[in-house]
Amino acid sequence: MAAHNNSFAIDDQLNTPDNLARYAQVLQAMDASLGAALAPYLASLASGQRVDMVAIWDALYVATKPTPNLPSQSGE
Amino acid sequence: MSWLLEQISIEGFRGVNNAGMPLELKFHTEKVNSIFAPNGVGKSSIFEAVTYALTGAIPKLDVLPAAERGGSYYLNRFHPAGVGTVSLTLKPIAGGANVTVTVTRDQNAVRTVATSDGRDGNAILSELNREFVLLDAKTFQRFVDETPLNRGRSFSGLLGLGSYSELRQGLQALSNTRAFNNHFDVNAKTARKKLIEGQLTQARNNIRVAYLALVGEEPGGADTSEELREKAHAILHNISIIQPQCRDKRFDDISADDCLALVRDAEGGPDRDRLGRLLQAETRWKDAIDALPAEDQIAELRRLSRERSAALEGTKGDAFLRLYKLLEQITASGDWHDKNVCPACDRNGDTSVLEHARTKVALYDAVTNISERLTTAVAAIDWPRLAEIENATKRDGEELIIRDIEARVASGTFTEAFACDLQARVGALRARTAEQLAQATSEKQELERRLPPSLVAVTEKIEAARRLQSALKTAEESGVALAGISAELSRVERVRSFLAGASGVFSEAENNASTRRLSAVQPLCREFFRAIVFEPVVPAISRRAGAEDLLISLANFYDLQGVSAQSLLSESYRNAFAISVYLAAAALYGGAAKFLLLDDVTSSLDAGHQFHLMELIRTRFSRPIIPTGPQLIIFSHDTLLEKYFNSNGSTAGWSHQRIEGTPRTQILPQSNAVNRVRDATMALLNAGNAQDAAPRIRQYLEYVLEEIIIRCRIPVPMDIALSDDKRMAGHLIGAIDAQVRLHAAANSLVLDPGQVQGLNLAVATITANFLAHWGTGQTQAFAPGALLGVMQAIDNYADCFKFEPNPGAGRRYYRSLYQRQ
Repeated sequence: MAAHNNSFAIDDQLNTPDNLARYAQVLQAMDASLGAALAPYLASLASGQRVDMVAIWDALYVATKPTPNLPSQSGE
Repeated sequence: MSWLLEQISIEGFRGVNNAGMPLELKFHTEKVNSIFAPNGVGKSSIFEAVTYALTGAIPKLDVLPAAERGGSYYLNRFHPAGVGTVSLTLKPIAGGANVTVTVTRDQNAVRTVATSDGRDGNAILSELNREFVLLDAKTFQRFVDETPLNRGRSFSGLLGLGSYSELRQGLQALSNTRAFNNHFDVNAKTARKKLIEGQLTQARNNIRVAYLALVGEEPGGADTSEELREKAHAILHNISIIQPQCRDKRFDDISADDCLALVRDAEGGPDRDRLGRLLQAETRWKDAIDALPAEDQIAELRRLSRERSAALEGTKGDAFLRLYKLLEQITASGDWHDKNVCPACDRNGDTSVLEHARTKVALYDAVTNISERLTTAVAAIDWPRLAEIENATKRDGEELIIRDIEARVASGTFTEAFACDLQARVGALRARTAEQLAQATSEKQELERRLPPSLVAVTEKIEAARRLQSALKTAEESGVALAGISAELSRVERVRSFLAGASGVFSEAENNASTRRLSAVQPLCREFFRAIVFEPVVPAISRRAGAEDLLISLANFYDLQGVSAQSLLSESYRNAFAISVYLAAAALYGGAAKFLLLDDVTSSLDAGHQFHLMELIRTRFSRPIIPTGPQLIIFSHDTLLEKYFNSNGSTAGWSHQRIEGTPRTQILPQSNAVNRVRDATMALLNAGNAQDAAPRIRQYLEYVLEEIIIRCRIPVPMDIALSDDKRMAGHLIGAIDAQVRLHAAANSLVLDPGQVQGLNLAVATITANFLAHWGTGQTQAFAPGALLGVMQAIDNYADCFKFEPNPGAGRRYYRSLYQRQ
């Protein structure tokens, strides 16, 4: 399954929200942080509503911010 | 969740007034439902009311010119409250209680949605809003006439892929290179990165040259900056005169000026200071020359500003851009059929308004494109440095022009004239800096000849150290700046690459699903088409590879193969093609709405093809024959089709009703509601309103006459129902009268003499006071009092065909004209 993480097919047996949820998983397999950032917008994009593209671009850009390597706090 | 439609209730909307008494149309969920209405009664208003409930709009009103105020015609103009209400009562297929979704619209166009059980009404309506739920003849005409792209987009919805199509388009818009680059300012950032890279290269070269002058050898390729500093520090530290200034200091902290002061103190003389300053000046002017933009860079700016000015001449400002874009949006819409008609002035010209709008928008796009190129070219030049050089070489009375260049570009004042001045100024700066460098070098060489060689060498070492300090600092700052902008661009590239990948993966998935579903629809579409037209014509639908376009053609047209559907098919066959596609898609990919409303979809078909289509629906498509199929609700004004409806209306799988009324007062279903029609008519007459009562009297009269014919089994001519609404009642009375006379002549008439006499009296009243005027359209001659008499005569007429089986048991119709019971 992992080898095909970046492939996606619409499943005729599933409804639209379920297919979008599966697509969101594929996006996160492509890029975990960007996939997570884009996922909340999928339903709006699919609804045909006017979507604020600038907000999506900015959210994706923020998601590319490198996370600092924090020292372990577990004490182990 | 899937829903069937059990009832539509409408008040105050479009042609349905029904103040205080909503038009209620009940449907059988397990039967084919047909509704017949003569023209002007409100059939299309019902269709539009459901359209509004599901979509929130009535397109034909919204596209009217503003002066027509289409939005104000959503509501019935005669309704006293000025509020339109549409309720849909839905039955869940999976079982459970019905849900009524009520949509209202007030005079301020405010829409409200409520449900009987508190659910999210908008969510239910959104689920129901599928492309094949509301079908009329225009939908089918559009399907054939539409561009392949628009047809493909609406077809995605038919295949249940509308949401996926929207998402794909959204992802494509997000990964659109131009919009993406504009948002992230990619071109300017890339140019800035290139500029910093150039500065870094220059600084590294300066390090090499200064290090060579100071240390006497080239820096090692693997030497770090710190190692270079250590070696440079060691060289200075070994010069005894300046050693006190070097001890216990880092290389960067050694002051060249303080070192030169020590040299001056050791040997004295203003020439020493002058040599130091000349060495600095020589470095400064060399750096300045390196910082000047290349001549072709400035020439490019001038060329782009010229092109931009030329492009701007074809435009008229932002207001017109908005106008052209709106024009393009409206005329490109599938609802705007004649592209030569201007939406603003309604004039119909010889050329396409859409093409005109696109041409105008393209002119603006050209300006944007050139402006972007100009911005990118400007960003590749270090303007702050250039401004410093301009200031340093300024002539008396000369205006400084190299300031705020980026702002000038952004504000559109970077004109060709300015670019011309700029080109001349940069040329002057090139000459001035070269002149300054030559002067400094010449004077330096003269001093070097006069001063003792050892101190010249020390001074030169100190100046080399100064240059090395500066170059190392510049290189490190440029390195930091480069790392920053590279990281920024890298993050932007990551987003771009992700979106491109996301869009590509989804497009492929949607395309595969579309191809798969299209393959399933085509055979069924062909089967349906064949069932309607019965000719050797085979429709074909296909997707253009890698595109949204949906192509329609004919696989076979008699002996021909692979030919154009639009060119060969008659209007009726084109509609049959479209109907077949829609029905096939609805059969295979129906969604939450398990019902279809068809409004006069057969208008282009002749009687035979109408019959074939209805038979297809009844026997192969809808409930109850196909238990999992959709529920069909068919509206028509076609009197031939009404015969078919009437024939089927008495069967188990079909329910037929007829509606009557006027937009001014009320529209009511005729079936099972004769008493409501009678009550409403009497109320109007008692209120003195003969004008609105007259159509209802006709409705009531026809109902009573048809009931007599049915109950008493009176044979009538085959074409009795084909008459227009002015003559129908007269023909029905004539048919009844003929049979009464026949049985009287044969001495088999069951009516008693008093009833026969009553018949004649009632007919005389009805004819003289109503039918005579109704048939000629002279309805202004009606008087309320006379019409009340007509209503009584109608009831008396019906009573002549009834008897009382037992005293007190109530009156009932004779079994026939010759049988009592």
